Amino acid sequence: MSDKILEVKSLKVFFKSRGKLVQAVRGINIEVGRGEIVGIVGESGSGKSVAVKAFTKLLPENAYIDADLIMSGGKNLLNLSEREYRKIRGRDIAMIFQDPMTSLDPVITIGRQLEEVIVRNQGTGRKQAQAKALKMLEKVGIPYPQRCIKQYPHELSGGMRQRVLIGMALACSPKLLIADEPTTALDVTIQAQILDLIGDIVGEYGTSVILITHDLGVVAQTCMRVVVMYGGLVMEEGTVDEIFYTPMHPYTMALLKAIPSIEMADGSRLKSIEGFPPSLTNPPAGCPFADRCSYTMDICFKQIPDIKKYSSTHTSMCFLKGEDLKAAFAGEKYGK
Amino acid sequence: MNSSNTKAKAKPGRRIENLIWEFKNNKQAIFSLVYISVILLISIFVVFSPNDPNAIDVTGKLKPPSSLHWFGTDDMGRDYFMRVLYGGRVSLLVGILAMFTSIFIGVGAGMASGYFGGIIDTVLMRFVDVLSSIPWIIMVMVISMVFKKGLISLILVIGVLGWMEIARLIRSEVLSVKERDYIKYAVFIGVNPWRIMFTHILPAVFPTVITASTASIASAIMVESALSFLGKGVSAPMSSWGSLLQSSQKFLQKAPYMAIIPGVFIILTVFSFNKLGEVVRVFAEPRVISGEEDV
Amino acid sequence: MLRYIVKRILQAVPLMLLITIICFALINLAPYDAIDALTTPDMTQVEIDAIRQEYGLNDPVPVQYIRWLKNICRGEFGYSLLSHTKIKYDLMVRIPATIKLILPSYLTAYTLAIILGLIAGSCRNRWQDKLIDGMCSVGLAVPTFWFAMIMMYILGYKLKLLPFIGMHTIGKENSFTDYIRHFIMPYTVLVISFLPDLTRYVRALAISQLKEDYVLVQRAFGASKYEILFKHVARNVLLPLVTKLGMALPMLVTGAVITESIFSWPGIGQYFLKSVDALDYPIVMDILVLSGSLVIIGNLLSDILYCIVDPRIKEPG
Repeated sequence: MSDKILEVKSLKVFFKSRGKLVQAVRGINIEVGRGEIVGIVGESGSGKSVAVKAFTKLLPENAYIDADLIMSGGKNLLNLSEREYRKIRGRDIAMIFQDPMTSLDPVITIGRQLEEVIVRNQGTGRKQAQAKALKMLEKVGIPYPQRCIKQYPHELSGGMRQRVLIGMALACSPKLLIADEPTTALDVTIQAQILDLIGDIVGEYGTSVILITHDLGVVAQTCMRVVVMYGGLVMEEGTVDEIFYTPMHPYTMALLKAIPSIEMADGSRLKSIEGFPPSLTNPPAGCPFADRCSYTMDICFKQIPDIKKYSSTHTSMCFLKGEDLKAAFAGEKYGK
Repeated sequence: MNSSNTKAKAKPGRRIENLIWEFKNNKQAIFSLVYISVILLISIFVVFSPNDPNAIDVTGKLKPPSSLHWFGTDDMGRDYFMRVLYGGRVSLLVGILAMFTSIFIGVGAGMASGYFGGIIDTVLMRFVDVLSSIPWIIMVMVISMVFKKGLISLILVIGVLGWMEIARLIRSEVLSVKERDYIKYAVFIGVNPWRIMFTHILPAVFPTVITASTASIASAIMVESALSFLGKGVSAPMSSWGSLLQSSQKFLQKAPYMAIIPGVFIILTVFSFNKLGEVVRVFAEPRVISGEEDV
Repeated sequence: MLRYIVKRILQAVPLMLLITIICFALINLAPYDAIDALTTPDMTQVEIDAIRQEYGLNDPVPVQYIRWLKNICRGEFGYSLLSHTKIKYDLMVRIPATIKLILPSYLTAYTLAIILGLIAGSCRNRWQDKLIDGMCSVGLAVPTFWFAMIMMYILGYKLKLLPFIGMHTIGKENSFTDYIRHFIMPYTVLVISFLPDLTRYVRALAISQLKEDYVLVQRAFGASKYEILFKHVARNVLLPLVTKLGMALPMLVTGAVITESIFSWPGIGQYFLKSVDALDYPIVMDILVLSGSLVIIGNLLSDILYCIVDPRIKEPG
């Protein structure tokens, strides 16, 4: 992983709300290589969305970011002014969001919105931008780009709008595309199409992708590496194979057991995770998952575990030893 | 649905905590609370003061504010300080009683409309539409032609004028409360609708009622002052801030303080009630947290 | 689109009828006899009865209502009880006077409110917002007539800068500068009285628009704060504001009752107040019908405008 597109070291994000401090992200490291698709998995409230918005400084005004390093494409983003940051957004790092229904300005045509982004980030004239907008719409699989350009967002379906947004993101050929739950609001069949589209585009443009999702199925289908987040911390990180075949964290295991699969038709029941995620206002002193973990020990409540390295790509944050985890997970069945 | 769920989850403890936080961190809110408390206490206890607001002193007409007469004297030499305090009594009384009238009609109509729906809802809401479509000043004037002058009819007129917005608010609140599971369940097992309204729906809309009532006092005081100013409100010898302003018009050139002082009291009072209403909204709608995003 | 407009107009008709029925009922409830408008004290009973017969005042109430409605539709507003003049002619003088005062004031307030509201909304919780919102809070609490009196005292009595009674100085009816000098004070009072409410409305709209996802998306694509504000938020805020413009239509008649009476502006508001004091029922009822109808027409207009301006509403249900 010598060719890093993004490198983040000990990122912390706080929110100040009514005099209280909410610790949404409590020190995480993330790296993304060129052309790589990294999945960030976690429940809502795990801090995954906040973390990626911190990369692009898109957090609300009451958010405070603290990190040792945020590097992208050789530039340190940590100390950039808002003005300099604006040049990073869209050009270096583009982002697409969860709800395509509300992500486009409802009173401006698709064409104008695309052109605006192209003109701003590529400095081309209106005419060229228009041509480019048409080309992008075609590229992302919009059936009638000529017509689409004159339409308003409400005239398109959710899947089509997400395609438009992907087109908008790629129009500026960014080095990194962050997709924040891009398929959550869509139907399952559309979901697969959009994921395929993202996969294809990475192949063609060499863009790196961070894909945020709460769905491990999506990760297995699209990603190369996986980061599992919980309670504002990274619990486990590894390649898709490592995470799916040799998980080294009870939380990952619990997530895996929650995936429905065809092999499970033998009557075994889908396992939900008991309990609720920890409070971010008063985060527990120990491992955030300790309350809900079936392998808890006393120490789990007292301090946050160190990161253990299992291979050059595989790390996990748990007090249990590798052998113990393997033994404990040996009997578990889940859809691989 | 989503928002009603989160509302249901917010515990009263959290709400009070929010309210206290809001008061601690909002200087205007503290000011409003203190001001209203003081003005209410004065209005209640001013009757025990030995000074008579109606004591006439022909030798000291239209005297500007001095150490003897803090707010000066009026055209009949009466102490303007006492007149303003007694005027405040009437203004606040009218404001509060008119608020109760509006709340009573508004909550009743809103609950009936929202809970029963159907033809009752349609008729009530059409009625609200028509009533609120006529500009209030025209409405008040027309009603004042038909009614006899007097404190009670003034309160009724202002109260009857101000219930429409409350009814709309309560109705939409009831509509969302009605969708909550415990109420659906109560309906399902056949609990008497009146019982459901009083034991389940009324408590659920209560915070909205509180918010609406502070705003309602403010607007009632405004309407009263305008009416009295136009000579359709309280009549002599009784006076309110509005009627003091009306009589000050004639002496504007000689005694401008007679116009300035009651006006300042109206502004402070209306401002304070409005501000309190805004703050109390934090209590009514825990998700309305001023200026900050929820995480 | 056309179908929608026709449908909305058809919906407005029963409301209009309802308002006229309420007004007519009030006339009939009120303690006065319509014959008083037509007679003079020196007429004999026979003459009075003849007039009563001639004007159909012996007919049943529904018949009278229909005749009255027909007259209103034809622009015949009846006669004043006091002066026995045709109300129509009074209105034709009074309404333009009021419009001359209110239209400029409202448009000024409207424009200022858009600017201030957008500034406050986009600088939420910073000093700009605190200043503007604070001024609005105070402004909402200031009674119009009090502000008018203070202005009169300072500009009229103390500084003797401006006249404060009527629309013209007697003898200078055609002087434009004289008109403007009379106009400034009531105009300022009205602008200040319209401003806080409108500004708060725009501010609230701007704040809710700035929370929309598309704003975040635009930022994610490198748009600056100003680009987002002027290209996207402003557009989305202006749409619902169009509605407000239609709703303001009835204000052209009744928006300045208090201000007109203080400055003795010879408009419809002052006319109305005088009629109320004189118990001149026909005038009061005419103005009631007029303002009620304008509200309905205003709502209708704003709905139609909205449907023309907003691309999302092409063929609403």
